[in-house]
Amino acid sequence: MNRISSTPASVSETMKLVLLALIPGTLVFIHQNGWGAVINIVLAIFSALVFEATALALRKRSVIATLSDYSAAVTALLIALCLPPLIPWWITVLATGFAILLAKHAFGGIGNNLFNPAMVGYAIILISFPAELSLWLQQPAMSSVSLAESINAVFNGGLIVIPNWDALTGATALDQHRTLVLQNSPLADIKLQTSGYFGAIQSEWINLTYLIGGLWMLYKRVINWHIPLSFLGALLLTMLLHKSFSSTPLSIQVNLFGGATMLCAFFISTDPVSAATSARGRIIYGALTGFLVYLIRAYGSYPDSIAFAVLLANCTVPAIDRMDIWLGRADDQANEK
Amino acid sequence: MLGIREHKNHQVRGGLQIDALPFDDIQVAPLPSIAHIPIDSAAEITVSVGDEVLTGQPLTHFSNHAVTSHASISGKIIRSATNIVSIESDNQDTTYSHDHQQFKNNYKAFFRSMGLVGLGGAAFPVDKKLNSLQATTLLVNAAECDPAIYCDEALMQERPKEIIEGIRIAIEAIGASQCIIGIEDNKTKAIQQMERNLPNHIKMIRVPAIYPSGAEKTLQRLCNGKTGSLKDNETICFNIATCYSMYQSVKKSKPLISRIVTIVEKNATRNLEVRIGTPLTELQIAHNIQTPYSIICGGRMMGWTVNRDYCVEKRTNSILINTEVQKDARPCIRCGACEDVCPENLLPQHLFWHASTPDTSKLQDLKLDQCIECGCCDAVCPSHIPLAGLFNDAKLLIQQEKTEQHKAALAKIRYEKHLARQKEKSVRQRKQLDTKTETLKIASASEDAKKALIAKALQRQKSRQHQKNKDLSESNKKPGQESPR
Repeated sequence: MNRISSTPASVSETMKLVLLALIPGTLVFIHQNGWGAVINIVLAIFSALVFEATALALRKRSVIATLSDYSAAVTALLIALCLPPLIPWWITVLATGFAILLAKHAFGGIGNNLFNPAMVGYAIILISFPAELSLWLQQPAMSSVSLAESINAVFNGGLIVIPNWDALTGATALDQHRTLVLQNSPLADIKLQTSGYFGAIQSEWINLTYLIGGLWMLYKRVINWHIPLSFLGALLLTMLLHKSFSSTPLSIQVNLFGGATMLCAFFISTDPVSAATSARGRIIYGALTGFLVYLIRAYGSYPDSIAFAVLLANCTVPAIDRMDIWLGRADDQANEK
Repeated sequence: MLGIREHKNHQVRGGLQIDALPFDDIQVAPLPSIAHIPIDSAAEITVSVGDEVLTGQPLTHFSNHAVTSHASISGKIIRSATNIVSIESDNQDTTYSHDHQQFKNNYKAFFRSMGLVGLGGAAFPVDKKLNSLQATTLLVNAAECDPAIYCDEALMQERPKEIIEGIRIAIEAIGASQCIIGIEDNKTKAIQQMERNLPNHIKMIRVPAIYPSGAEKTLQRLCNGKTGSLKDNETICFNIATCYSMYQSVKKSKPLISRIVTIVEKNATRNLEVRIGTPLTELQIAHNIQTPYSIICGGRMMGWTVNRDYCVEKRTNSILINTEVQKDARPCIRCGACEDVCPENLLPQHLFWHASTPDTSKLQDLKLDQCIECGCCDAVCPSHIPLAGLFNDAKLLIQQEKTEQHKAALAKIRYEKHLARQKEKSVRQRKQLDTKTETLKIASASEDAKKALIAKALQRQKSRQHQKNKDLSESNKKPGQESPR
């Protein structure tokens, strides 16, 4: 039977559509970060597929049939889109290794992982190598690094092999924004340094393309509206609440269109396996993630908080699922009366 | 072949919107050269091999427990087993004439003798349905039970007068005070035809054409949503084809020997009026089917696979040539697509999780018994998990567990009674022992007492002897008394 504008027909179809929806965001990411981003993406996808194939072979599963569901490629691409360019190659490989082997296959493969594999991989390297992961190239500098130089850097110890490397890097807009806010810098100053046209400087464009990709996925019924809406809604609400009582609130624009907000709203927290499974549960789950994202951004010490927020929300999923059944039963009883 | 859309509608929750195919008018299938008539296992067969039978002749005795089966063609009986009778056609198709005098004003017995069962797909005996409750409402199911079946729609388009006559008979048989026809709103031609002939007291309600609107429970809920007058235990639901067969039996005294079957092939959808027991091979459909293709009986969503030598039964509403290869199931990714389409508002993803363990108490908590096995969840599952089948298995398991629990409870009661009996016995024995020791004690105490005891014993002995003699003389008397006879 062929379907008209219905949910995707298979898991591979779903994953293919997710990959397609990520293409515009990926192009902007490459445009902003240069050859280093391309190397990261290729390296991540290749290593993830190798890890996945190895794990499947060890677990005596059909390698070709499972590889064809594209889920490893999606995981790898999501990790690569979080990594700064010109990071040593082994950090990327470590991230995909932890994602595929530990977060996914140690739990029983696709469908059984409790945590979002991409975020597990990213969180582990973020905790282990915080310095390497904060070295983002500044916008105009990226074009000056050639492909040969990039390859050399990635395979020979990272950014430091490039002369004047410290002049090329800078903090991300979100990170800088928080630092400035906490330093009580003048508002005009903060705005000038971190705000772009409608969001955070630089990263507003990539967030916009993620948003477009996400809306397309909603239209294609790849994802449901519950998580993105409740995530963004809760994020916005928390920000407004924070603004009402705090003397150092973060900018709403920078938070909505900065960091990995849109990537999380449409691509990361919507991973069906590690999210709550029912409609009501997904709303609770998305809202919890959004709330945690802002909380960690405002009070935590990492440049971005998506990975930790998503992983913490993942922990609550079994409880949310149970609560949902309980709420459903309460609903039924109310209807009967 | 067909478009499936997940449905979003306020009246109905869940369900699938499935495009209808164009279909041909009803054609009468050629007379089969052989018919294998299925027989109710509780029925007693009256014919034997070699007998000549006429079309419509009963093959089983009329009984209170079984629906009568009839010969669907005239000819010679060539096989007679407990559950099947085969008739070789003589190509005459001579009709048997029925005598209904004994069933006057008794619809239940009459319908049973005419072999009437529900033609929607479950083949539930009509008389049992009439028996089951004191109904005041007749709900006529004019919504097709499966999106790939068109036999009811074709029937309504071509024979609306007869159907409405049949509905009148059904109302009379039930003694219903109101009658509602539930029809899917995409059957415009059928609605037109029906409305043209509809008397005032029968209401027709259009329900959205969303699978599974035609499921009895769902249809009742939908119609109730519009009228609010259908009470669960006061409504009897009959399929439109069943009403038609009531008309045929009452007005034409024709037993249920044929039915309309929708045949869905790759390029054509036909509606054939087929005699019960016709083998598929005679319908010119099953002869060129190759291995990846399968024959599905009973609709695309809820049907089951049959083999080539399948014969049309009373419940056979459709024969579908399936050209799709069954895809291998992959692990569940918890996407919740099944939840969105479930018409019963269940959580199939959780049910699946507990059905694979299987955890029967959790399954019951999640209301597995409400699952109507419509197969909507199967159709949308991106991992191609055969959910409805698993749920059916789980239901059987729960049923089995319940029977076992019941048995265990009975055994427990038996055992407890046994224990009580044993206790009573031991108490009694102890008592006897006590009295015995008591007397022995007394006996050993004094000479007089001993003598008294002996005297008592002799007395007992004497009276026993006396009783014996009396018995003996009485038993000797008896033959003497009987001798005059």
